[in-house]
Amino acid sequence: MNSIQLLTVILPLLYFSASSLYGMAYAEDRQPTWAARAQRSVVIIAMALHVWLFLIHNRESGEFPVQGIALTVSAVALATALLFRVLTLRIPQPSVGTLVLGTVGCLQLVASSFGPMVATGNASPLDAVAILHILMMVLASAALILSGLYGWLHLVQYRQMRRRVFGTLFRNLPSLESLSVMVRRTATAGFVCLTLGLNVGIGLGHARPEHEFKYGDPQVILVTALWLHFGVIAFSRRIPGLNARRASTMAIGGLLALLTSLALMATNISFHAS
Amino acid sequence: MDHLEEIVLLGLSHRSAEVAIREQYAVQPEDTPRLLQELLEQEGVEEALLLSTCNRTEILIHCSHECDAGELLRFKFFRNLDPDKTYEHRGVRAIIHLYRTAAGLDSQVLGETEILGQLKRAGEIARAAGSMGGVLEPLIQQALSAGKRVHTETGLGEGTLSIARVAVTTSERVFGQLDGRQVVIVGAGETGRLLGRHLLAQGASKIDFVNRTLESAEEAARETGGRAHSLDNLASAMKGADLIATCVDGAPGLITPDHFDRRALGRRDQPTLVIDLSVPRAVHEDVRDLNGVFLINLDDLAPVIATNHEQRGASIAKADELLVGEVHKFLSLRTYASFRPAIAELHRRFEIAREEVLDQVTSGSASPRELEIAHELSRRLLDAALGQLKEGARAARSEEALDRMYQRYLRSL
Repeated sequence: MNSIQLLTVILPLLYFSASSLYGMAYAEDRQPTWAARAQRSVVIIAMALHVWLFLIHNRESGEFPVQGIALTVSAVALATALLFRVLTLRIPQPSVGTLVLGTVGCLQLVASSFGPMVATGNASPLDAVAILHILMMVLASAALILSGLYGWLHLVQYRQMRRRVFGTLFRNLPSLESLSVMVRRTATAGFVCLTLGLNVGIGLGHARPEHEFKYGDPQVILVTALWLHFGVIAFSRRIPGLNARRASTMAIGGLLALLTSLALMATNISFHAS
Repeated sequence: MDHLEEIVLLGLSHRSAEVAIREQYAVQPEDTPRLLQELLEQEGVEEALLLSTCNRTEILIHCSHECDAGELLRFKFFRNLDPDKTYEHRGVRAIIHLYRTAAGLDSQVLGETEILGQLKRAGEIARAAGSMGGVLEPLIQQALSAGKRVHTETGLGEGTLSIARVAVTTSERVFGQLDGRQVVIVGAGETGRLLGRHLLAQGASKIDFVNRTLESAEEAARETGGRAHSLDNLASAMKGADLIATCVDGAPGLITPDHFDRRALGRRDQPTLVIDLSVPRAVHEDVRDLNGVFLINLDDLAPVIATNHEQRGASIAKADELLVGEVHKFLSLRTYASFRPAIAELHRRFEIAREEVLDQVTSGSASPRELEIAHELSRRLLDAALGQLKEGARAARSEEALDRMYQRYLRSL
């Protein structure tokens, strides 16, 4: 077993372990002191190993490491963990961290399931513009995943308040206001990255006839719809009637559409499948 | 008969009845003197005190003889109510209950301090109505003193100090920072002002008060930098508010869905939080069905409060231990007080004996020095005898036996 194969097995386990450690926040006073200290270390180790995976891939194949469905999903997983870490640097949110890192673990598990992610060495070389397109789309995906997850937690907290269930979840989740701020903030970040990534991608599609780019391509339609969708969420405070709860519901819808878009990459329906 | 057996306490609280019942049997302060007078007119009732707060309505009486006090109080205050929704304590159990109440151990928010002020005020009302005397007066004073000791010597009240504080914590789960939030408090009484102070401490910048009497609202609003409104302007005061809290007495269903602008609610980004701390409830239940409104009342806050209880096991044990000692001290004082006629007789006999001995020894011509020695001798002998009496009073009821009784009381809760 080489290093890449070993990392594809270890990474999901590490993310799930980090998720479990963050989940101990729900134990409140009964949370072991070591758990709080270990949370950060395990996430940092997981992310460092994840970056190492891409570096090994790059070194072995000489390719830009984010190519193909497995490595793209893996890159989205890493970007999600990284973005969450950056967003919660000042105010840690362990109760949210358990869900985010659980999702990251699932994404990495899916990526690992596609294969050992070994370098093929037959991918076409990418120029800086194509790399910018990929990086923006990966970052946008991570931001939109976070937006959807925060939206889901917002609805959970809203439901707890509505039903007057003031249990562990209620006590430990961030306030409704904080959750809605995060929904919009991540949606805005996703919208900005998506704007850049989509435009660069369309430009690339036109510049390279071999890609057989079409505006009618299911993935292009879906990503454009996503761009509009998250644009509406990002500016929802200025749109009358689009309150935090509706914005959260939209963010969850957007997350599902995003996952569909990623799934399309694994099929032959989209031009990206090639 | 033991005087203590003549102390009877009947009541209902958050432990025995839900808020819908508690609000029906809450007594307004203005009605209390009349009810106390009516109680005193009952045969056998010598003293009475009535404590009515958002979480309890309790009547404490001292009877002169074995009257059926429980039945009398039940008929007068809790007629047509299922007896299971009330509790009755007699003698030492009634005293234990009162001490635990004063210490905040029986409060919905464990260790809250509002109850001390409420019990003190109940005592003042009873004193003004002439319904407190030689038994209830020292009992209330000692209970207040024990309550203060528990608050200062145990960590019971740390963290969460009152219902108002719990309400603030809950509102933080909705709004996060309270800075810039529009807050309206309906009721400028003690709880309303306390809530205002807590909200200010948590970052609320401006808090409006609505009250029956505009002067009280103005006074409270000055403290919080907000505006004052009379109840006539309730709907306009509530317009655009993020948080509405009610702490009013005797205003059931004061706020109805009609007080809200439904279209404005739909346009709001975050929901409007309505916290009803009033008994009877001041906010109509239909408000709960409004889109974009969270209505929370005292019963809804119970689980939040229960968490505090779980986290304070050690403090509770310490407070209970302290109260056993305090109750024992009170009972010893009561026993000693029952020796008063005997002590007076002892004084009289010592004086007679001293004069007789002086007459015999000095033939009626005692020098000042001899008089001084005789007085000092009799005083010391009397002190020794009284010391023995006090010790006897203390030993009359052992602290261990009282502790067992206390534990039985706790198990019955």
